[in-house]
Amino acid sequence: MSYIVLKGVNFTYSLGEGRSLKALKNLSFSVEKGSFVALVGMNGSGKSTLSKLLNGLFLPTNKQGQVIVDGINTKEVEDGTVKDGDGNEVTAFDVRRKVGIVFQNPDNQTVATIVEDDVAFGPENIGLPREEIVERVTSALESVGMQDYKDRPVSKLSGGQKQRVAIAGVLAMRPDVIVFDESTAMLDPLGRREIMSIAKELNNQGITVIMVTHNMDEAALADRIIVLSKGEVALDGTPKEVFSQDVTRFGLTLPPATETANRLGAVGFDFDGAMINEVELVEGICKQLR
Amino acid sequence: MQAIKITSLTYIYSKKTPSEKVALDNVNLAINEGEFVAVVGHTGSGKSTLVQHLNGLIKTQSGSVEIFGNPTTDKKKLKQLRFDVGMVFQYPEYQLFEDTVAKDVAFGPKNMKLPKEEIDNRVHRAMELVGLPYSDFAERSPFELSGGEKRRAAIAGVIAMEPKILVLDEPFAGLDPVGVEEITALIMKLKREVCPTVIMVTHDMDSASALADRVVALYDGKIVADGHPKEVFGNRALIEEIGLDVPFVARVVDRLEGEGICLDKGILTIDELVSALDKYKKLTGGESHV
Repeated sequence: MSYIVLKGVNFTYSLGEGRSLKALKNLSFSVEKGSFVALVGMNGSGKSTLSKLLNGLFLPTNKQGQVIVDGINTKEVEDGTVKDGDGNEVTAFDVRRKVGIVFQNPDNQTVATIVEDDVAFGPENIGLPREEIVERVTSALESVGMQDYKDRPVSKLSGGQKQRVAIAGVLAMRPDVIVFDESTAMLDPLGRREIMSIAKELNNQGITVIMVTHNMDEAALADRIIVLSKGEVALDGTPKEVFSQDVTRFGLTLPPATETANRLGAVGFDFDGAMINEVELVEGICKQLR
Repeated sequence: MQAIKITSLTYIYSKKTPSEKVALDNVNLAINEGEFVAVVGHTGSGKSTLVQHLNGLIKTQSGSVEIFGNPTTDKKKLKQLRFDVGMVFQYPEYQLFEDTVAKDVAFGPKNMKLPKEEIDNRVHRAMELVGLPYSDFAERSPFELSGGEKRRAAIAGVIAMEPKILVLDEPFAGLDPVGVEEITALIMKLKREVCPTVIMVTHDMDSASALADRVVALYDGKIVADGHPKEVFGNRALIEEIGLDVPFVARVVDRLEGEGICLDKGILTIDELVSALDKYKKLTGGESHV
């Protein structure tokens, strides 16, 4: 089932003095519920603009363009014309609650000084009863393995730990989708691995994950990779499909395993499709040497 | 000629408080002019504390640091020291602040109180070197440059000081693949043409092994390995013990060994791996049909 649907979306930034920048052009695709999608592309390809459209922070700038999240058109909630089954107005808040975003910089996503207060910020804002808040904060911190740090000041945590707290803050809102907008870019290798394994685990529990990244090894862990180039979808497929193409045309590199297999191909090795990680690569090499 | 000489350097943060932490513990290190040294170690191992000693940003507590024979404690030479050791911090583009690229690059030389003509010459030269031609970029605002261009502008500001030693802290963090390639090429060019001694702090073992001719590994404030990348990364037990990543190619070599295909443990680049496997295949190819 498609959870997010984009139809003919344009997004144009107005730069003033009559100048403008077309960041996204006629973008159409959908994201299945429970999938793990990597969104890749060089700087300026439109990735971050796209991630802000997914939860209604940005709206398509063309009339026909639509972003539909769980059946809700993000433009219509702004007009206040959408009602749910009980006749209650559906607002932009509801969309943002469904699609949470974890941003790049671990140092500017926290609002409170103490870990559990920070995670409680969202649930408090939507006026949940106290017991419900406590329950959500506890389970969110457990999901990211930060329960032992609940009384600690956020400022004393490592970058990876801060990102885990940011994820807990998003989880406490019980979202259906989490967008990781280059959330691993500023972390050390250990922090990166922690965030990737949490993303995988949340995906296993049914949360749809959209991972914006420059790291091709991270992208190779997804079920599907969407390559953006100049505001358009350049490639869309499984990691094996995408990395069997020449992605350098879009300013990307191949994962090192794929690159190695291609170079071995030039000296007479023969692999069955693109090798997307070191395990596949080694298996592929062994088959040919035994 | 010896560029850097560090003798018995110990540094303790928050001395005599409950949060006292030994950041450097009796470090001895000599670096010759012309070396490319990668300083590696997990977060908190003392890498940043060590390099901040090189231009006197951190005052030595015990032990000594000499740059081209001059101790960093010599107050009369502190200014010269800051010019001789060019520091490119993490995310240096966050430190751009002037309204044009040329003014930003000129900030350092201006502080050196050089004659105007000399400042102009240096700004021109530095901008050309980093690939931001003066005629195209001088009058542009640094804030409207792309991510990779901003980083190059920030590096130009350091190069305009004409340092003898270039220190780079995580120069590739947060860049897209094209940006990584550009900055890699730039660092090698700067080493060749203007600043022969380069020290790079990094978490990325693949770039450490590909670029540096010497790797210094820190753990708990102590130097635990110092040598050619082949030697340091060849000692897998140590690399694991101190919590570093094994470079990609070395991981493939280890996995192949697990499958009974033994190659040289010193193999670190894709080229070396491809030629070793090519040879292996030719040697065993004829009799593999058991």
